Amino acid sequence: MKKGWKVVGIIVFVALLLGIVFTAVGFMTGADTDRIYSVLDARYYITEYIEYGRQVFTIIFQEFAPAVVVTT
Amino acid sequence: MLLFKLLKEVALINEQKFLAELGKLLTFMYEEDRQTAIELYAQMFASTADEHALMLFLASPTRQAVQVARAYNAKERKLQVHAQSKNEDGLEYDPDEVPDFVLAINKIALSAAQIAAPVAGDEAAEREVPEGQFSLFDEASAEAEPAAAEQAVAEPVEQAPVEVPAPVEVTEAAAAEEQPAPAVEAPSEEVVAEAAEGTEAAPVEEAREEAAEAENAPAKEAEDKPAEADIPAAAPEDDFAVVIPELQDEAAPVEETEASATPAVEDMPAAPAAVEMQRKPRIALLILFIILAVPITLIGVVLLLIPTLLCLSLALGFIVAGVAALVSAFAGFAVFADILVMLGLALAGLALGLLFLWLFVWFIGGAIVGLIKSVIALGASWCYKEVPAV
Repeated sequence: MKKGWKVVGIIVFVALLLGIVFTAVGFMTGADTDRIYSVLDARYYITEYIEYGRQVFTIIFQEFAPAVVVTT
Repeated sequence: MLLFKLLKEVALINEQKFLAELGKLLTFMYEEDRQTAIELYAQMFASTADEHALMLFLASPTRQAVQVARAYNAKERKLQVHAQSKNEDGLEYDPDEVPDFVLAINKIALSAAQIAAPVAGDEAAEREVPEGQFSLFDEASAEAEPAAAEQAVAEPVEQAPVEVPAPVEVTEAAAAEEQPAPAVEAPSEEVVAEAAEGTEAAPVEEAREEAAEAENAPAKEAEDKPAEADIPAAAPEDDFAVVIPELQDEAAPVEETEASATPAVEDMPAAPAAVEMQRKPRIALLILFIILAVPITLIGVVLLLIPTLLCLSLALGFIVAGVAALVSAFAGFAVFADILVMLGLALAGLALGLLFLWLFVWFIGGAIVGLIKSVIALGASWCYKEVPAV
């Protein structure tokens, strides 16, 4: 189990480091979050899922804690 | 000259016999420790100037085996054997981890060297000490006698080696009377003198050691006493002592002492008969433990399942997100900077997914299984007792 922790820790550390480096380099070379978001939204319908989740959340809170939801 | 050569050959044979017999007697030790002990004794023989005096000093393999056995702790050695870093020749240890038996053998070697040195020189000059001269042996015997007096009540068997030096100091004739096996020494004054030289320091040191041991570890002493009692009291009982052909007729009693010394091997404390133990449950306690332990363990398992399942869900979420980001990075983006950002996010997501997945495995295989195992082990230690098998 200790060896497993060691191996997993090394892999996770290296992958996280590479991810941070890639992201940093991408933003430094002109990446745009709005552009990325629009592409991902077009591909995975992120906005629709977020809206769906928000509605479910609102319904649940209206049912169990209406005072909290009034402000929203 | 012929006699000298004969003595030399006999001494060589005696040395080999001594080491072989000692090797047999030390089988209770771990093999590498046994080899170390044998090599230390072989070095002792190799470095001595007078093998005959050394042989007389060592007395017998049985006696040496008992001394090594006293200093040998098999349980501690079992732990040390793997941790111990030994040099190439296998005889040197770390200064902090020198085993007790090596120290004991070194102590014997030191005593032997001290005894062999004067023997190699002018023996007559060494023997005759002027009356006014300060003598260590007077003090030693004076110290040893109270020790012997203390031990006389509890250990009458060990009294003999302590008493030997005192008459040796007084006169040689008295020494001849006090020697338990005078047959070997009686015909020749030289042999008597050597025997006296060989035995006079050893019993005194042994008396000191045994007095210290009697104070520190009376229980251990009581264990060892049968083996010690079987060894004839004085040094010349040795079956490996040099036997001069002319004296063979008179040396017959030595054979008898050998016969009496041999059973000591079986009585050695380091080779106790193994007692089979049997685990017997305490029924009432076991039932009580099961009644209490099962619900407590179940509660613990359920509590541990919450973070376990949370880790699993997080791991699945991060992995799915990471794969989606990786796929989209190569499918939907036209700008290289955006692709780099997506690759970075994918790598980070996959890394976190792997971390949570491993946490899930650790909770299942380590924490939950460990909890169950430790509860079972606790029950085994509380609810079972070991009794000797009938």
